[in-house]
Amino acid sequence: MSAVYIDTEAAAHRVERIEQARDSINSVRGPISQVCEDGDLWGESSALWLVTEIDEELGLAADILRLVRDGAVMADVYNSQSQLGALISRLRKSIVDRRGAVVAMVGDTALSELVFEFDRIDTNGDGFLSLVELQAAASAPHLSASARDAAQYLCDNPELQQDMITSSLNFVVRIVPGLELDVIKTAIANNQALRLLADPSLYGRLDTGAGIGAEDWTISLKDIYAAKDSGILSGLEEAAIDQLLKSGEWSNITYRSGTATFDDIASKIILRQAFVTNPVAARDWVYSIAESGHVTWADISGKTSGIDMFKISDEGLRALVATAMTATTSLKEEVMVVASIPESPGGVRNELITYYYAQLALEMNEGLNADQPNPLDLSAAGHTGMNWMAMGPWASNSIAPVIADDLRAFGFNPSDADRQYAADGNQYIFGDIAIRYAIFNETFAGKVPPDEATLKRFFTDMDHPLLPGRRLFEDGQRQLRDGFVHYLAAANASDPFTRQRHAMFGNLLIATHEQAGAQHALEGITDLDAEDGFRVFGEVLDAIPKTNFMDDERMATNQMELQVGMGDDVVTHRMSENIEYVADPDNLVQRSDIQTVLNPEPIDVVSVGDITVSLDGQPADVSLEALRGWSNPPPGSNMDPFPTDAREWIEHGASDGGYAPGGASALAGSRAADWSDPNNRQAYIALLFQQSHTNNEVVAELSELGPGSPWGQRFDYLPKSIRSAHRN
Amino acid sequence: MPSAEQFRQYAHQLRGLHVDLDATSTIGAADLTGVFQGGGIAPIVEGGLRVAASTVELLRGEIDLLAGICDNRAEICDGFVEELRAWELRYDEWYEGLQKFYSYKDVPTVYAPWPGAKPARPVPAFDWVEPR
Repeated sequence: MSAVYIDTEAAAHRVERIEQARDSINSVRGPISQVCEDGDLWGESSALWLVTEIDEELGLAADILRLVRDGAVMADVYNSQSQLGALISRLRKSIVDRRGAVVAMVGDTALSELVFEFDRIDTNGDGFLSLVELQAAASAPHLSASARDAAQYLCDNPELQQDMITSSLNFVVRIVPGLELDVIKTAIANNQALRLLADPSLYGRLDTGAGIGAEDWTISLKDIYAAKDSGILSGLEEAAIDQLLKSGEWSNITYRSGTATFDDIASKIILRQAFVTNPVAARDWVYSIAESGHVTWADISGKTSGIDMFKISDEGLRALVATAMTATTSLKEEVMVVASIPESPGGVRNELITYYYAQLALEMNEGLNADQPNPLDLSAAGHTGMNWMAMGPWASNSIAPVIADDLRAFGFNPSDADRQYAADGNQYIFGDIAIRYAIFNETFAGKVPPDEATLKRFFTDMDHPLLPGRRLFEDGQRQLRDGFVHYLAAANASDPFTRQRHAMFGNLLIATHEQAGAQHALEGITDLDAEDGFRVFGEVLDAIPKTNFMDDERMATNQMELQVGMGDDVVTHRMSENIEYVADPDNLVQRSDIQTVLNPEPIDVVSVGDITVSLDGQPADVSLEALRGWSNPPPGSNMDPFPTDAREWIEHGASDGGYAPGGASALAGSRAADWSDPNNRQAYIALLFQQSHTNNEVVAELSELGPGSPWGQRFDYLPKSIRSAHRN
Repeated sequence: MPSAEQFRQYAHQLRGLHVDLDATSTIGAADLTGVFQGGGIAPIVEGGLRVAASTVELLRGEIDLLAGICDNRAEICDGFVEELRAWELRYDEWYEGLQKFYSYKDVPTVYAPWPGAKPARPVPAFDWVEPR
């Protein structure tokens, strides 16, 4: 039996809140009753019956908390003959009666239901719930629907079930046929403790609160005992820590080392589905992962590794996302959830990133082309053409096999290092750009032309929604910020060429920004002899001189491709091959010189409709700060200068075919020899964007990445309310 | 019985109750992480609070439904008042015709036609319809 601790003050406070809620509920009883009486409306509504039901439910919850606060014996929870047990039994009946409509049988709610129904599910009476018994229970007519659903929940989550069993074994070597009653009870108590430990402030106090060690997001047993001795923990926190220590869970969390990293705690919270019963708490915890800096995009350089994806459970991550999404109220918040979660071995986050890229690309397409009859027709006269994010889903989808360890990737099995690098790069680009894309769409939707105040608010005054104390645009993000200015210029211009040209500027600037940030991950993927802790033979490979036959970067680049589209319509761009030139009369920028006409680098004043916007702090209607960009990274950013000028890309990056401005021959040198070389890569990307600018193949199948499509069926775990709100 | 105006007031009053329910709507998001450690109570109490909060949403729906019924009744009352007004006009016309008929009945040079049957007073479709 797990240890019990009650914070009586907190319990009293909760009772007070519940009683306030009861007062509110009862305050509507009188007016409803009066209206029903005067208006002869009795029989027309069940409102008063619902008021009574709510009052009873809240009353029971308050009475239970009062009993507990006053020292009721906690073991009586499961004894329906006791006063506490009787109240619990009545409240549980409310939950069971309303099952499905209100309370999903997941997480602790399901585990609790299994405790109450243990004896009826354990049909052979051996004291264990085996998988066979759980499967039988899931469709057993003699059990309540709640009990059936609770059993089904464990059947549907084998990783959770297995971890509960494994954790209970600790160092004892024995074979067990299933879950014991105490194991389930302990799992509920451990989940409570994990939720408390999930609070980064407690984590921080354990890490350094007792004055031991540096802030390294690593908690050792020494940290824990020092924190306990120094009295910096509340009674409840201490009880939670004790619960994890005494149940052996701490040992499991730390892989028997005694020392837990943030990744260890987060992965256990996800695996055990500790937050799946409470959408608001789930969402807030997911956000706290980003707020505490455990996302790649919190570090502007993109060089901080993400949470170890190999510790994360696919099924647990899906459950967490589904729960957190329920508490979101906009596409922006959904994007914030996806940007904050870790990756898992099955690529659950990558799928979501691809999905949300497509949603945002479609939304941006509509926003920039609000006056177009069909915003999806890039070739229509006056359309701005493609926006950067239209390529995002395909790029993200192209690395899915790497992340999920699909044999098709790179022609050989990706290493764990490749998978983590790919996942980190995927998260960095999405988190860095998609959140701002979503805010851009939200801010400027329906505001054509925008006013000066809105421009200033978005580009200079807005705080980042997930990074405390940081602005939406800061030093290092010059290209990213300026890209959005050009998008606004495109949307508010009337000349068709000007619209396409500004959209191209935006695309190139944002592509430059993201590629600079992804440099670290790309070097990791292409450098097969990197000394990064993943590769056992790194030193051996490193000792072999690079030749045409043994050049790891070239070998990796030869395997790279971008697949645009789905199924039979897929168009594959291989980075090691020249981009194909197909004359497109609708593409007004197709033959423009990328080094001059389409080069955004020299531009420092942009017209957004009638409003002039300065990009470098010069006098204008709206004067934006001269932020540093990646050609001149801010000090301390841990970034090497990255080429931002199209002249440099073409001069140093175009391959052996050379570059001739303006025609098909420009593409002869577009292929990349080394994808990790910034100029090589940028030249390829810039020319690909240019040639694809009005290619409807890029957007035609974005909706295939949405709800209702065969591909989209993988998101059936998301709440219906979320999926139905999306574009398809 | 209430008049159309009163039914409108009821609808307005009912919709105003949503504000009073806000405090209860948020109670479902409360968890007991900061109250308990162990003991098995938390899932039940948290589940109960979520059920209560969810029932509040059902109550909101019922209140809106009730307010909608009041709106509808107000319109029906309005319609009945219109019917009554029309009937009163018809009745006045009829009565005038009747008076003429009897006044000129024995006057050979003036003809006043028989006004026909007395217009029937409209009957409310529902017993809660108040003709005011």
